This record gives sequence, structure tokens and C-alpha cells, in this order.
Amino acid sequence: MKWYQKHRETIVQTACLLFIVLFAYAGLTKLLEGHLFYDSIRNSPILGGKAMASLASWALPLSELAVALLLIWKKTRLIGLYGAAVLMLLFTGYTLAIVFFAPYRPCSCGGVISLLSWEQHLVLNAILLLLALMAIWSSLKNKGIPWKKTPQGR
Amino acid sequence: MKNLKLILAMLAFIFAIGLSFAFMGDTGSGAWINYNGVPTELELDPCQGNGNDCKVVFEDDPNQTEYTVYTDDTLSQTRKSNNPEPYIIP
Repeated sequence: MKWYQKHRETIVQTACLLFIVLFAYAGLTKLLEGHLFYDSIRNSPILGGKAMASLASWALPLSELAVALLLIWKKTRLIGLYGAAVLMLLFTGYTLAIVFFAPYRPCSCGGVISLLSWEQHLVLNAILLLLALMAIWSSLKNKGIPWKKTPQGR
Repeated sequence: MKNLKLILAMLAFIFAIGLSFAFMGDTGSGAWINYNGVPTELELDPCQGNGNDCKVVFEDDPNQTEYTVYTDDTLSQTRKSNNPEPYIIP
């Protein structure tokens, strides 16, 4: 526990670096090969549909890049971590739905992540979600902000 | 170094930019269709898994013609997919 308290800032910084690489890579890949990402969402057994594909093909990569940029500067890092947690929650929910509820498994094409199966993808997303939550908790501790709001008597 | 953390974070961002360009797909999809009598390779591979004949339709095709997907330009061996519906190509 003492080791953790001593290296809390380093752990948060390392998590931020990981998320910067992850979201910058993912966001840029989706923008550079936007038609492929649009195809994937268009043919998704869970989402599907033209409107969702059009919205997601722009909103998602821009959100990922925004989160990556927010994580670079210390002043905006906490907001970036919240954004990372929200995105990871969305991705985890989507892969969960694909693995357990989809009638068939679509292609998870795209870069390095396409080497993983959907189940492996789900485990990775869950781990990254936990990492984001842990980094938020550690950041709040570093700032002296209580994790939970305690009622104050007047 | 005063701004080491900031520089590290920026280097991570630049690394990610390089990584995304490095993994851009430039190899063939391995998915061919008979498009108006001409063997045509698709930009992406729409066939995943087994079970059903892999087929595609073009979104802007008013006739919604279904094209069977093949493994190569000889159009002799069909591809299989776990998707029972034709893959929509925008």
C-alpha cells in the first residue's frame, strides 16, 4: 500500500500515456480509413443503420482524439480520464452485446486490434475500463478531492 | 527536466500517429465478385466465419442485386460467412 501511495502519480501518468497512444491510434485509424469504419457500423448486428453509421463514423474518432489531447496536459488530464472512462464503457458495452446478444459475429477489422477475437476484445476493454476508473480515483486522491461527497452538517 | 511529462505525452501522441499510418491496410481483401462480367476485388473483406454463402449488395444499387463473393479472380470458389444477410457496401 505504501508503494502504491508513493508511486500513485507515476501510475496515473503511465495510464494516461497508454490511453493517449490507444485513443490517438484508434481515432486516427478510424479517420484515415473512415469508409471501412462506416462499413463496419453500417453492417453491425447490434447498431447498424445508415444514421448510426454516419454519426458514429465522425463522432467516435473525433471524441477519441479529443480525449487523447485532453490527457496530454496536466490541467485537463482529469477531464480526459473521465472521457476515457466513458468511451471505454461504451466500447465494453458494445463488445459485450456482440459477444452475448448478436445473432452473428461481424468483422472486427482494423489495425492491431483486429488480431484479437471478440472475447479477447471484451476482456481488454474491461481491463482498460478498470484502469481508467483507477486512474480517476488516484487523480482525485492526489488532488485531495474525496472520492465520495460526504454530507456536511450546517 | 521541467516539462518531461508533457514531452513524454506528446511523444506518445506522435508515436500513435506513426502507428496508425504503419498499420494502414494496403494488401488485397481476398474478396472478389463478378461485377458486370468483370472479376472485381472488394476494398474490404465482408466474409467472416462459416455457414452461409457470403454475399454483398451495393447500397446505392436500385435493384439491390446480390453478388456472391469468391476467394480469387477465377471466381471458382465461393466464400462463406456467418452473416445470413448480404453485406451492405456503401
